[in-house]
Amino acid sequence: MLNETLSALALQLNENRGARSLMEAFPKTIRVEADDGSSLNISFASGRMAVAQGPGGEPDIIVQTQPLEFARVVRGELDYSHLMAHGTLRVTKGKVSDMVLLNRILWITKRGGAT
Amino acid sequence: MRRVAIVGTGTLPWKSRYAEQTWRDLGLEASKKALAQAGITAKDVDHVTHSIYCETMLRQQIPEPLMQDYLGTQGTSSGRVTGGAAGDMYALQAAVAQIASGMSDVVLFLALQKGQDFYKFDTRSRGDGILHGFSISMDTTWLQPIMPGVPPYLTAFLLQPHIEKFGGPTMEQMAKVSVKNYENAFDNPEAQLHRKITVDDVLGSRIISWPTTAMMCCLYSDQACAMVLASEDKAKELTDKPIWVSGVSTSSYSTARATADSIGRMHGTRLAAQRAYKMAGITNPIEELDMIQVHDLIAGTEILAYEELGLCELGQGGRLVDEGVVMRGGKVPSNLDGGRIACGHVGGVSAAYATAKIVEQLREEAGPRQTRLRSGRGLVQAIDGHGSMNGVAILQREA
Amino acid sequence: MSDNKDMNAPLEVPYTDWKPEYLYSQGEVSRFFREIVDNKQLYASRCMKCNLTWMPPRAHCPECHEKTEWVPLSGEGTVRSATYCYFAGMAGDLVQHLGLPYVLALIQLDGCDTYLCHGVKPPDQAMGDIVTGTRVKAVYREERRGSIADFYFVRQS
Repeated sequence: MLNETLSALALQLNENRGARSLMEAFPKTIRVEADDGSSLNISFASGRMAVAQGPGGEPDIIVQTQPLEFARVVRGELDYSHLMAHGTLRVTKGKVSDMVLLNRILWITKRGGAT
Repeated sequence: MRRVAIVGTGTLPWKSRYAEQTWRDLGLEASKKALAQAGITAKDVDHVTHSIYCETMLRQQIPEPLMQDYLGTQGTSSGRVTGGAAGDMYALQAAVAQIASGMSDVVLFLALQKGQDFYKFDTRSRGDGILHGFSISMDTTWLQPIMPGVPPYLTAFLLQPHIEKFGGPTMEQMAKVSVKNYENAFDNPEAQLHRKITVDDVLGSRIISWPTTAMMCCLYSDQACAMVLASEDKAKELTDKPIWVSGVSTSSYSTARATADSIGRMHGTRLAAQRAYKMAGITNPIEELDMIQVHDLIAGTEILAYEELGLCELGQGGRLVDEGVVMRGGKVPSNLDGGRIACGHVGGVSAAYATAKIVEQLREEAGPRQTRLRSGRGLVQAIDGHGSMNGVAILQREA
Repeated sequence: MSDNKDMNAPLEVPYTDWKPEYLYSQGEVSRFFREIVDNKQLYASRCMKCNLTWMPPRAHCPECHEKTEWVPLSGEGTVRSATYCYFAGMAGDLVQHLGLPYVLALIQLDGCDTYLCHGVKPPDQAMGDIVTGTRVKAVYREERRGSIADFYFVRQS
C-alpha cells in the first residue's frame, strides 16, 4: 500500500516543474525498511523519482518505520517529525536533515507545501 | 508634551515576494498612499522617520538616504530607527517624540523591508536563504553558532519555561490561535494567505521546536507601510478623524540574560505596556481596549502577550482563547488582520501595518471586518525574534 | 528573440559575490576561548562585588561595571529548559555538526547564576531523554578554534 501511494505521487511529481527542480538538487536513494522485514526503495535521479519494491542497491539514507504511518506522511496528513519524535521513524543511515528535504519534495504539490 | 495623531495611512497587500518592485518602489508606493489619504504632498513633510530593520536583507547598508532621495524629501530632518523586528515600535516612539517635543509638525513614518531576495542556490530555496542570511542577527559570539532558528529560541527561553511554571498554554490552545488568525486573514484582502485550517492541521504540521509546530510559526514577506503623523493643530486641519497615539513605549530587556526569574516571561512587554498604559490613562486594559494586535511570531508568544499586557493572570492566556475573549466578536479581539501567522510578517513593518489596521478600525472604515467599538481604543504590541526588543502603543479616537 | 517578450517583466539576477570574511578578535573574553582550545576547560566570570557568576562570561559586570574574575567550572550542569528541534533553518555551526534532532537547552552550569543557552546531543531521535532537571556535562569537539560551538553537552549517564 505504501508502494502504491508513493508510486502515484511519483507520477505526479515527475510532471511538476517545481518538484523536478527540487528533485534535481536531491540526487539520493532512500531505503524504507518496515518492522516486518519488507523494504522498498525511492530514488531521485536526473530530477525524477522512481519507486521499487525491495531493498535496492546501497542507499544513501535508510529509514526504519511503520509503513502505514509513513504513508500518512506521503499523503500529507502528518509531518515526518511527529513519527520521529514518538519513535515510529528512525533514520539509521544518513542525515536526519535529509528527511526535511525529502518531506519538502513529497509535499510540494500539496496545499500549504512544507518548508 | 503635545498630542500626536495619525492622519493618514498607506498599506499594501502582503506578498511572500514582490518581484515586480524593489524596496525603493515599495516604500514610495506606501508613502504615496499615506500622503494622499492625509491630503498632503511630500513637500509638506518636516521630518521622515524610517523603520528599516535589516540591511543584509536589502543587500544595502545605509539605505535611508537612498529612500530620502526617492521620496523627494530632500533636506528634511530624518532618522532611521531600528529595534530588531520590533523596530517599527521604536520608530513610532521616535516619530511621536519628534512631534510631541515641538520639533516637527508633520512626520512621514515609513516602514519597509524586503525579506525574500535571499536565495540559497544549493537547496534552491528562498526560505533557506533568508534563514541563513539573517542568522547573524543572533548574538554571533554566544548564540548564532549553536542556534537552529528563531522559533527554537522563543520556545526555549519563553514558551517551555512558561508552560512549566504556569501550566499553560496547551498545544491545543496554541493551535486555536493559528486557526483564529487564519480565519481573520481570510477576510483581509491584504493578507498573504486566504485559507481555512483546523486544529488538526496545525498539530500535524512539522515539529519545528516542540511544542511549536510549523503552522504555529509566522510567515515571511516583503512589505512597506507608511503613516503621516501630525501635531494636534495640524491634525485638525487635515482630518476630521484623527487617531491619537495616546501612549507609546519600548523596553529592551534581554531574554538571553536567563535566570530562574526571567525565563518564561516577556518582562520587556510588561514594562513597555505599563509605561504606555500610564501615558494613556489606562488602568484596566481588558475593559478599556476594543482590540489588540500582538506579535504572534509563534502562537505561544501571542498567548504570553495577553498575560504580559495584563489582560489576565500569568498562565491564564489560553483561557482567553478557549472562552472566545480574543476571537472576532469577543470582548478584546486579537489580531483581526490575521496576525503574523496568516496575514504576513517582516521585521520593522508588521507592527506598523498592525497600527494602520487599528487606525482603520477606530475610524470605522474596516468594512466587513469592522469590530464593535466601546472605548474607541486599540493596542499594538511588538517583540523581536529574541523577545528582547519590545514596544507597545495605544491608539485612541477622539472621545 | 520573440516579439512578445515583456521587457518590463521582473529580471531576477543572481548575486553571490559578497561573502564577508573575518579575522575576529575575542577581546577581553579571549581567555574563555583559549581555555577551551588549549585545555578543554570551561570558565565563567564572577563579579566579587555583586556576588554574581555570569555565564556566558562577561569581562565586566553589567550591574556595577567592575572587572570580573575568571572561575573554572566542572563543566557539569542542570537543564532548566529544553526543546527538541526537528527543523533548523538557521543552522549554526554546532547544529550542522550534531545534526537533527537538535536539543536546544538552557543549562545552569554548576556554580553559575545565569543560564547558558547551548545544544545537547540526545541519545535517541525520539523526544524525552533531555528534559528540565536532566544533568548534563560538556564534551569537547576534536577540532576547536575559539568558538562557543567548540563544545556541546550530553546527558550524564
